[in-house]
Amino acid sequence: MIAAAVATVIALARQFAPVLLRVVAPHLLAVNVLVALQASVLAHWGRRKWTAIYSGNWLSTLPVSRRQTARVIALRAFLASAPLLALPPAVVLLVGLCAPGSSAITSALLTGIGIATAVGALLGWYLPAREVRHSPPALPYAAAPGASAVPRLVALSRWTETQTRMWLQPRSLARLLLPAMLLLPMGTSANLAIALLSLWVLTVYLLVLLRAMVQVAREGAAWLRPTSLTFYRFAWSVARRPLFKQLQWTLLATALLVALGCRPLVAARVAEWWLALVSVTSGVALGRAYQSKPVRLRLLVSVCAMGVLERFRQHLALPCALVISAWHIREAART
Amino acid sequence: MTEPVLAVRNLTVRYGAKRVLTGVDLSLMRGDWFFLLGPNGSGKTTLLRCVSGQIVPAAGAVNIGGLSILEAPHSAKRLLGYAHPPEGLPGLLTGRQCLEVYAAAHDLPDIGSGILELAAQLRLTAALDQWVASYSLGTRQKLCILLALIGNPALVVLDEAFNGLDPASALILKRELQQRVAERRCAVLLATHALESVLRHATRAGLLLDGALTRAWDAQELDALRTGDPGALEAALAEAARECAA
Repeated sequence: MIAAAVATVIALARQFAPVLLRVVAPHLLAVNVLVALQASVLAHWGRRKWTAIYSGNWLSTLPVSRRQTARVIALRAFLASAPLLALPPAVVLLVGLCAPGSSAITSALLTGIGIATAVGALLGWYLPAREVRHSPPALPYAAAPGASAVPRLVALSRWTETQTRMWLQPRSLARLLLPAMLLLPMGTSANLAIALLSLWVLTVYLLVLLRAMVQVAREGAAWLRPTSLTFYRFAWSVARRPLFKQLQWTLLATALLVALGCRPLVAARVAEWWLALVSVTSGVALGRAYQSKPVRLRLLVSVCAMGVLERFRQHLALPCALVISAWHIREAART
Repeated sequence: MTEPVLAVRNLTVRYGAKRVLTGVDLSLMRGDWFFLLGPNGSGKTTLLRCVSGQIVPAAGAVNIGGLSILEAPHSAKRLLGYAHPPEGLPGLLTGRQCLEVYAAAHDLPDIGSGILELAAQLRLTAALDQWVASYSLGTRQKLCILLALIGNPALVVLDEAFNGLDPASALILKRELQQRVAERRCAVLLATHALESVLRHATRAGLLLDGALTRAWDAQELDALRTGDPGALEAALAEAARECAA
């Protein structure tokens, strides 16, 4: 399975490498800014997280100097962020290997990414840390205090939305908007800027909603395993509202893309791909979570299979996603 | 002869190459309150998770009310009330939503006034409309036990359920369980380290050592321990552990 996934990634890289380089070449500065931001955020979060851990655990009671603790924190923060920090250069290297005659642009990108990572990480490390407060959002869906309790599964379908709002609180959203605002070219009109930022927020919302559904499927299945809840009732309750929202907001995003000047066929194709991804993720996540089996590898293989099929023949991704999803649902329903 | 509420036969569980439970046999009737004792890591939680259908055993059978938890899980789980560990509760639901979802998952027509009354006695009513994420450990424990009692299940499975509870709440819950057991409405399987509770409430008890039920006490033996030396159970446990090690 892993070999098949690697082979698919290489095949996809070969196909898209020249296109990717053509798109990236005029925006080297923007790429470097994004990489610096990523490094800065990772370094800052890493420092904050590991400082909190090392100031509260049993090691804090030992006579260890502050300098030694700081070194350990730096090392742990670096090791935890290393896979994400290594991702951009790895992608550039892969693309460079798959696109002959691109050594100049590849070297420029690699140098820029290296410098941006170093500068970003240093900035992030020395940014003053603020106190973090993790508070759940307000309670829009809760019954009025003292209301009677009636057996119903509606809370399961709203759980995903609550999780999404928990992750997308205004403070997090503001941080996510920052890179998009920085990437807007000078001289962009206010209307266009608002439309582009709306599209960005919508994209982030759809991604987070999908991620939240995977999380809720896992947590909900674990919590309800000792009950007699059947798979179909579980899956319907968890997925109904998020899937409807996905469809609703994907349509809106498609309309927005068209309004921004994207060709309707291209916009429809993007929507088709996204809905295929949503479909396969939902089916695999719900089915595997209900069977208390791991999700990630199966999901990766399913998405790769969709990519390969789509490469041979267009418009196969969505039917393929629906078949994979149905297969996982059937498997889970049998247990 | 009546069907046992819980029948565990020759249960073996492995985590990879490690054998966690070995040939465990256990049978509970309505009216039994079985205290499962044993040191940390002896397999108590694994046994309870197996009974509640969360772990598939390597060998053996678990029947609830005569229904196999592996072959007819949905029917068997209708008779089961399992108290999750507090960290397993969904933080982004309110207590009331948890009750609603659990009752619906068990296909119950209503939650039952008894559960809401019990929540009121435990001073949980106000907390029911707050996120579970904002609950203290004790409040979560109360909710976990309430969830396990929804629908008057024939088998109630509790894992260290009174940890973190204030004495008054623990007393209320123990009385509730005692009443259900005395009226033969259910059997209770409780894993615990609290020996004083064994002497006060247990109708039967068993010691799990290294994944095997090495010693069991029936009602007469427990009565004898109650009337005799208060440290006798502790001594008996130590003795059983020594025998097992030898």
